[in-house]
Parts: sequence; structure tokens; C-alpha cells
Amino acid sequence: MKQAPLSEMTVEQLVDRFTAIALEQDRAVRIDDNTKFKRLFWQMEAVEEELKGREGDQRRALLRLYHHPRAQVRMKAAIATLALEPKAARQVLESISDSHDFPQAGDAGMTLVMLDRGIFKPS
Amino acid sequence: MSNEMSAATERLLRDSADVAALRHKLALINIAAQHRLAWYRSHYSPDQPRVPAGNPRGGQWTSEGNTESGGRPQTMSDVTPDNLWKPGAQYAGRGPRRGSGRIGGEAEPGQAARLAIARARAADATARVRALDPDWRPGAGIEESIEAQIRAYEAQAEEAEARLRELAGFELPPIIPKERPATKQEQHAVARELARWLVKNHGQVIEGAAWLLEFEPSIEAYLDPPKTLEELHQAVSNPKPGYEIHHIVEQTPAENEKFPRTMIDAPDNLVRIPKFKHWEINGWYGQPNKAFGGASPREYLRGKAWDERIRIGLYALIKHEVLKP
Repeated sequence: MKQAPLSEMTVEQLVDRFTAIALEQDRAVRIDDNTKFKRLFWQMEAVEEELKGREGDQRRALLRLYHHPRAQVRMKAAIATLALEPKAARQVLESISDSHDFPQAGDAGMTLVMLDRGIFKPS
Repeated sequence: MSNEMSAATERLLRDSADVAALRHKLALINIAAQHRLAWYRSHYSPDQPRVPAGNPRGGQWTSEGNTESGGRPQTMSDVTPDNLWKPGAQYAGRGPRRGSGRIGGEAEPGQAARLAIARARAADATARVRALDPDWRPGAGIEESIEAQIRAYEAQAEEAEARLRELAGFELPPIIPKERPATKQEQHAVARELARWLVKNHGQVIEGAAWLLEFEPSIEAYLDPPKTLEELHQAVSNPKPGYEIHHIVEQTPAENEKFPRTMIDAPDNLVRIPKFKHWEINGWYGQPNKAFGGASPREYLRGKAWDERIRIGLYALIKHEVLKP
């Protein structure tokens, strides 16, 4: 079934889309399917841009995903909201990094490294 | 009645520091385990040896008669019913879908296997939740196309597993098919999921399957605690099943950028690490990453000095729990 354009989706639908993409990413990274992951990465970027462009920066709606059972969803929601909620988002990343829940534990840990080194500047 | 029982159970579980509550919690886990055995009893053989609880190596599954592991007791799997693991289109039309209509298209072998895993996982998780909370129902319906069915089963499993964690505080082990999956990629996927689950659920024991024996060295290696850099360097001269030699500064990009082989293959750039960790780190290097400006770490390092490559390489080893911080 063809997806509706992002610009026509509600914030709720965009959050659902974000979650669905993250779950697909989870499956891709677990089997090193980087071709698929790359496509999904840019799809997620588009969803984030759409949310960011909505009045009041609706990326805030992703905060509810901080408690999702899958680490990939939590991690991506935290990274997407670092600029809005730096402290809370960082706590989510630290928690994943310490969780032994791989492969996300490694990715979250490296995200923190790049943040602390000032190379990653969330906007 | 069941609602009252469920509420009472939850109240008890909320305070697991209390001895009585903890005992009750353990009883619930036992009920769940019994339910699971009943679920698959047509495939259960009481003659199959089992790994005893309290394995001092914490979660490492063992195998009898396995030359590689020195003849330790073997655990055979009956986790997935036989009829759920036979690649072919027969699975495409058998989902518990709601509504009418034909399933769209035939499943390819890999797709059928994924569908079977997703369906088994959803059924298993749902059955376990219902053993503790008989009134629980998953929210989502089942879709028409095979890919949509897989997603729907996975969503159902996620939902059930989340509820199960709330009720009993333990995480479901991955589905281990009794029969060897058709492709090497699928076999590796199962072995890696098992290794990941064991790391995350340290101290737990899981039933294995005979076909997994060849992956035992890789699974055991994945459970290694982080080592010092010196230990990882020294191990290079001692090749071992389940491990691979890893270049801290990735060799192909370094070679492409004219770094000499003497630097690339120098002893201080080589470490022996668990094979599945090696694959995980290599995968991470190739994935686009917001922390690297949307480039992959490999792309980010293009044109960078040797020192920065080393730095990222060491951080990656630390954050993947191969190297001690």
C-alpha cells in the first residue's frame, strides 16, 4: 500500500512512521543489511525534518518513545530530540549504552563519544 | 476473576524485595515455563538432556558429544514446532488473519522463514502472557500481504513481550528453530540473536539445537568480558575458532588512502576479537550515523589522520565491550 506523503500526515501518524522505520532499522542492523539500513536512515531523516518543520517543533512528540521496549526506537528518539531535551535524551543514550543490548549499546555509546568530543552537535 | 487475579499478581510483583512476593514471582515464571513446555509437548522428548540451572558460566549453553567443547552435556531444542520451520509458500496463507481476502503473493524461502519466526514468536509471547493474564488481548489485527503479516506478528510479539516484562520481569529468549534454517545468513542470524540474548540476560540458560553446535565457539566468544589492549594484541598469534583478527584502523580504507601496509599490519593495529563482535563493529562502520553528520563512520574517517582512525577504532572496541575502558 502506498504511503501518504509526510506533509499530509498528522503528528501522531509521523510518530508511528518513525517507530515503524526504527523497528525496520533494528532488523536491518541485526543482520548487517547496510543497504536497507541506509535507505531507512534517510526515510527517518525525512520524518524528523517534517516534525521539526511543524509549528512548535513537533519532534517533541518523539519523547514518548523514550520508553519503547526496543532499544533502536528509544535510541533514535533520543538522538532526534537531543537538541530539545539534552539531559533526558542523554540519559536514554547512557542507559542503552550500559544495557549490554547490542548492537544498539555500541551505537549509543559511540554517539555519546561523538557528543562529548564536540563533533556531534545536535540541532 | 481473572482481572482480580491479574491485579493481585501485579501488586505482588511490584515489591519483589519482599520474600513472599519474590517466591510468588518465581512460581509465575515456572507456570510460564510449564505452559511453554505444554505448548510444544508434541515435540518434547523427556530423554533429551537438559542444561541444569545455575550453570556457573552464566548462560553458556553446552552440548554433549561435541568435540569442539570437550563432550559437555548437550541441550536439544524443541522451541519451534517443526511445521513452523519449513521454507515454502505453504506458510503464506496460514496466518490468523482477520477478515476475508486472499494473501497477496507467495512467500519466498527467506520471507517464509521470517514469517514463521514472527508467527511463532507472537504465539509464544501471547501464550506466556495469557498464562499470567488470561484476559490479555493484542491490539493489532493481522494484515494481508506477507510483509505486512510479518510486521503485524512482530508488533503483536512486541506488545505481548512488553506486557510479560511488566508481569514477570523477565525477557523472552529468541526463537531457536529445531531444524537448521535454509541459508547461512539465517543460521548466523539465529546464532547471533542467541549470543546477544545471553549477553543481555547474563546467568540465564537457554535450550539450544543440534544444528547450532557449529556456532558454539562464536557464541561463547561473544560472551567474553572486555579485555586489555595487551591481551587482545597477544591473542593475535593464537588463532581460535569463534574469533577473527581485527584491524583497529580499518585496512581497506587505509590502503585506499595510501597508508603503508607496514602500518596497517603492524602488531599494534591488530587484535583478536570475537567473530560476531567483529561483524557488529564492521556493520556499524558502514551505517550512516547522525553523530557523524549523516555519514558513516567509515566515510567520516576518509581523509583523516592515522591518529583519529586509531581513536575511533579504540572507542568502537570499548563501546562494543571488547576492550576494557
